[in-house]
Amino acid sequence: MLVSVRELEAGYSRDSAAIRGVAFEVAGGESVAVLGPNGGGKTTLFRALLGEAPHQSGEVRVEGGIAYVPQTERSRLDFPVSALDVALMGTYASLPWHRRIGKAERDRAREALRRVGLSAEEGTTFGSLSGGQRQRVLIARALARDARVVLLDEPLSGVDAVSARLVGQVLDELRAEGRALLVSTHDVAEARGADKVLCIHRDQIAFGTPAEALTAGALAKTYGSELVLLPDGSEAIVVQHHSHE
Amino acid sequence: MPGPFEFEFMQRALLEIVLLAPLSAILGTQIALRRLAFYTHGVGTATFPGLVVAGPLGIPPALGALAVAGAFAGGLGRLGRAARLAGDSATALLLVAALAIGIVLASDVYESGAGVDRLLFGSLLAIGTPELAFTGAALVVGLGAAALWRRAWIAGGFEPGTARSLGMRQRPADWGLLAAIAVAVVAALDAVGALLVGAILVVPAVTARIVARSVRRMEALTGVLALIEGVAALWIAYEVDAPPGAVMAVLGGAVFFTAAVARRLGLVGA
Repeated sequence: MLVSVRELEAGYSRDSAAIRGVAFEVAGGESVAVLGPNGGGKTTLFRALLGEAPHQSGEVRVEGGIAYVPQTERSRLDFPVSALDVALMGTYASLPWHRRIGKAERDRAREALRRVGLSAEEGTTFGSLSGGQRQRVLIARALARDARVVLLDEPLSGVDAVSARLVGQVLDELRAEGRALLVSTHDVAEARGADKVLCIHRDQIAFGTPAEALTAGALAKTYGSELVLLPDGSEAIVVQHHSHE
Repeated sequence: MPGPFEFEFMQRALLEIVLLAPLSAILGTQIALRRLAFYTHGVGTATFPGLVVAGPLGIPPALGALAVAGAFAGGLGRLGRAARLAGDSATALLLVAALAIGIVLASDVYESGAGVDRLLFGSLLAIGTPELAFTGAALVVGLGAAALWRRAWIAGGFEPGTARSLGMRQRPADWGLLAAIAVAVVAALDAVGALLVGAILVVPAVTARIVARSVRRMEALTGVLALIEGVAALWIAYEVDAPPGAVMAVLGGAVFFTAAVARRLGLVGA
């Protein structure tokens, strides 16, 4: 298993944990949709996996390195960096402090940009790219990091159709290469396309295949009053209120 | 060598600018990109009481200034956490306190009011061999910090909070940047004074930001601007008998304004 989480309780406050009782495993080549409402603990779970959020109890094991693709709104659009500069950031950790970025790192970053269909934009300033292109650059940065585990924070949120198709292709390729993917989303339909689904709303609600995890009961517990079930019970619509963890 | 630079004190001042320009390139760029201009101004102003007491106590001014700058940088984080203040509010609070303490010490305790404008705005005559040695040491500190942490500074500035996911440790890099800026500020005090350290550490960088499309180009342009503006300010300061810091601030402001207008007209732009 590339990711193994047991009875995890984590958060920034000593008094109350943001997530509790989280336990799941992810094998290489597997994708897991982390489904939950805004403020439900998806980002805290990712931060716990990255070692950024303190663990109050439980155990997290990640093998083969971990890369993170955040939502693009965390990036500063006024920063003077090109798409290639951002992709190169994925190679920083592999370089000792005294070594300059060389051809090998540039080739890795360019290959990552090629995979997300942005070779032609390598010199374009990050802030000048469209929202979908920016998302793909951040994915390229994670590809350049060459980690076995990749966390993606709502990668399809607000991206155009072309970018969504390209992102989907890249995620399929990553799975085929044996990497483990954890993709946070609040889109139930998107979660159905993953190998497994982890429903979380501070507590872990369900974990399993989409058929096992996406039951009406689990969705109701995950989303509470934000969930609207269609009369035949086959579809769930989530009405999201905007808040941030 | 033309006119003013035939004098030894002007040559020392010139060497000081030559040493400060690369510091401005390395750290000024980060100050502009990481939005640390107010912190830089705060550290500069906070050194004032340290400078005032250094003379009467018989300690090197740089040491007095460095001690207060260090206390300011360290106290900033603690005050922010303890009083739940935003970073700029804590900076403003400490800045005002330091300035007030400095003025009281200068005018009432040590009665050295005549030297206050030299401390606040710099003096060509203040630059001797010890000051040059300190600026040289500050440059070594700046270069060392950049060698260790420049990548983390760029990654953390571009996307706050994600350096860890890129395999870097952000906190030591951030503290290293704040410490290197504090040392650079103390080094710049002799040339530009406590109130105007921004003239060499901030203004060239924010001007370069208008034009530069990459961090590396911004660093290079910042260094060139700091050097040209610094040398021109020394010359003008000598000719009109004005504090070099004030002249450099006016000159830097004029260049910034020109670049901003040129950008507005579409003549230059990042």
